[in-house]
Amino acid sequence: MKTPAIPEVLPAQELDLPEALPADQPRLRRRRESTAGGVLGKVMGAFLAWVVRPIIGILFCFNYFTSILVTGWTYRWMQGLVLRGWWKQSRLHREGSFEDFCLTLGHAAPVLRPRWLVRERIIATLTRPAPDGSRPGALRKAFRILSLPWFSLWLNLKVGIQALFCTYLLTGWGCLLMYFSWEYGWLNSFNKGYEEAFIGPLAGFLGIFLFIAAMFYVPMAQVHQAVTGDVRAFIDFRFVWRLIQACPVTYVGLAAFIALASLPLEILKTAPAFFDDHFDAWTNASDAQVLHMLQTYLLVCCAVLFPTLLLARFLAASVYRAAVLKVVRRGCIAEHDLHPVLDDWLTRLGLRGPLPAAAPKMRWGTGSIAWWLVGTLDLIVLVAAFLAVVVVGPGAWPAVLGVWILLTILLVPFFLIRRGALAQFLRFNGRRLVFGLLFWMWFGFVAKVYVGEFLNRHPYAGFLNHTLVQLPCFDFIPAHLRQSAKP
Amino acid sequence: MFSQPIDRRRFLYQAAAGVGAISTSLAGGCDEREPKAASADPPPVAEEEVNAGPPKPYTGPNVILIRFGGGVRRLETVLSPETTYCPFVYHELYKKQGILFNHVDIESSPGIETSHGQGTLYLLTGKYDHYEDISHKPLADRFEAKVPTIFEYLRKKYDIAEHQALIINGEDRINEEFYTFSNHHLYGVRFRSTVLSLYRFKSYLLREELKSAELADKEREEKTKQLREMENKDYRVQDRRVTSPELDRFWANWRNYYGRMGLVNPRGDRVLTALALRALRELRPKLLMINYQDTDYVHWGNPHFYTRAISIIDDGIRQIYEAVQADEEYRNNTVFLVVPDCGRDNNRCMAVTYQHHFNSKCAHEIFVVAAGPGIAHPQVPVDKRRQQISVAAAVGKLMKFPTAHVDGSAGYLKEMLL
Repeated sequence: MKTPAIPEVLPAQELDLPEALPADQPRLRRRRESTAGGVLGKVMGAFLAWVVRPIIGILFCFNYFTSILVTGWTYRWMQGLVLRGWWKQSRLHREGSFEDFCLTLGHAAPVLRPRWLVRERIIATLTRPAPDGSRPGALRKAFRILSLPWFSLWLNLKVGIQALFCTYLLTGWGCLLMYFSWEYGWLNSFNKGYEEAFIGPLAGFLGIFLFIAAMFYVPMAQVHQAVTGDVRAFIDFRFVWRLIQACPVTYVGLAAFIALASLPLEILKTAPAFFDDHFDAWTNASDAQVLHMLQTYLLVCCAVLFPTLLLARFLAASVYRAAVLKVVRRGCIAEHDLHPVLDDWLTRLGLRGPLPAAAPKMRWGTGSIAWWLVGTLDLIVLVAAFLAVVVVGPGAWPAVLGVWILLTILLVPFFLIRRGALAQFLRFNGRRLVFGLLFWMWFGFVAKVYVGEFLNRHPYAGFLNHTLVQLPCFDFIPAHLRQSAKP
Repeated sequence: MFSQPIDRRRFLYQAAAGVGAISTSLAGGCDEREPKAASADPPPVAEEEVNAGPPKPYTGPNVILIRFGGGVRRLETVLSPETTYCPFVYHELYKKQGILFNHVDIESSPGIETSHGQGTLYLLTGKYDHYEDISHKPLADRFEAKVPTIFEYLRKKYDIAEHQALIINGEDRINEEFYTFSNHHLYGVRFRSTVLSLYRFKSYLLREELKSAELADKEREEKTKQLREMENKDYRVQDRRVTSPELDRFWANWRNYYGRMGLVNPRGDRVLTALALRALRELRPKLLMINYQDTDYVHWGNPHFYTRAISIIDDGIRQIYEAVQADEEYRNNTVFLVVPDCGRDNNRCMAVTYQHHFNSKCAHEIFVVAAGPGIAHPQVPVDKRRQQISVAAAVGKLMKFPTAHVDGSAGYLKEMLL
């Protein structure tokens, strides 16, 4: 497929000089807003932000390479969203604009509406002092000018690659095992290798569990990486698990959204199984015409994928924003657990309180070893109960319920001997519930991939790429069709 | 009134011919399209009483009906020597000896599905029908034919033992174990065919184990229960004998050669070939249907499952053909009919264009290759449209038994008969 052309130059939504001034000059800002040019600029900016950039995003979702840019772009967008959310909760919200605040963070500060190609904050970039604090020389300025047309492109690519590297670092193992299981499992089944028949399903189950386990953590870690702009932040396990524990309900909601939103995307991905050879318009078309029709269809799918992805990122950013404030205000993390970038921003915004020197122990907390063990045990019991119902029949339901109640009651004495026991007991069971809910949400997410791949197989991409989690790409044009459609 | 009593047989012949002629002329006058496959062929005999009286001994040719199963397209089989994955069927059976009908269709009508169970029943009964699963379980596909199968016609007309009217089935399609007879009140279980499959071998092993006096009570109870479950899958034969000395001998030989554990015998579609070769030697079937199936593995998306399976089936046909030629009784007295149960999709929007057979246009398009004594060898394919169900009538013509309940409008592949 031909990569959609990137517009030569995106109309710049540039700050004019008064906006580049420090935030403590609100009068200048108000004067700019009142001018006709300012209003026109805002309208143009809004047009670019809400029409042109999404269109580019949609086009970029149509190719594997450009979808890396989409990943980077959405990460930068999340960064701006989170920072703006905190800024709105701070006193600075009443004292100046968000842009004013961002300028105090330097020329590389987050932006609310990232660009695809051209550098943001051009004037601030050109006029910023050299590393030694002196005025920039002509040569330095020339280099900076050279970077202007493609800096955002480079940034999107860099952030995108970093993001995908980290995401695959955790989710990739599960994906690989699922893929291996599908390939090897059916290969073995075809050849009736009864002696090794267990390897395929076993690898599949292991892959599914690994993927689900990774997805317990990844959505929050993705935002943490995006907001801090730091690759290493992705594996800041202690901090990320505390964030998940701080907002379990909304985090489960986020998982539910991604799982549910991926369902129509899976349907769209699978639907071409029922186009050609089923409808005369497709059946009677030449290869070139089929290619064109399929491209059009997939482009429409991209128009569904990109907004869905933005919505998922928006929700993830919202959950993260609230979770960070919670853990900081409650002192659930140690001073050194807070990432320097977050520390700096929250301090400037006045949202950061004192933190303990050592973080409270996780004990049964979300992400702790105990949480994993208890959650897994619950899961085994549930699956065993389900199997019992299948084997014995509906009569097994009372026994299953009995076991569940017994398991819950058995733990009561361990809690009741201490103060605040009831709250602890409820929290403990709440976390078990969170484990169960997260597991089944992500299980549903994976299960629909299996169904989709049975109906319409996508070699490699089917199991190795999940569009709302990894590469947001909807390029499902078969290689043989590209080949045969060539004149 | 009439001076002579009416001969009912002659009356039915004439009535059928008259109705056929009227319908042909009406169709010709109203519609310029190509008439439905071979509607000009004289319809098969439409009466039950033709078989009245004791069955006669069979002296006609043997027929080996090969379900080129799991659904295949013409492209990878018979369309051209460059694209075929079944060189034996293409070069030997079609090009050197037999005839190819390359425009055979499965009718596109509501309720007519392009799947394996249905396709097999269309072949067996010679009639399209909407089949519904009688077990009402997901993916069970337990169908029952309402009209007689070719095996029932054959065994009703001729004195052919149950074990000489054989169906050979694969190891993991239990639902296909029960296509041996129809629910028709004049035919049915009395004239059924016999199935050879690993499923049947397992039930044989259980029966043998239960004969042992050394079996502990608990073990005996378990094995009896297991055997009952296997046998009772077909509720219609619970009160019927499911074994015979010939079959027991066949399975005993199989066990002696391949053992009991199932890990020594050939696997996949190769086991069907092995069963067919042994059956030819030991059971001497007159009508043998082999239900190959492994091309269907491509549902899971690996394209080479399909092409490899075609080649494996082709090699199986070659082995069976060679076995027939090496056997004096079968040589020059055995007709091969190769026909798929259904086609497969031709969906260019999918990475594997033939992954499924979702009732698409191409899934309705199949072929028939016939070769053997009495079969024409025109050296060019028959391009006229024919119907899959006409295979049943064609078998009837070859083996000279009436097929009263087949859809006569589909004809009987008359070009293949010399």
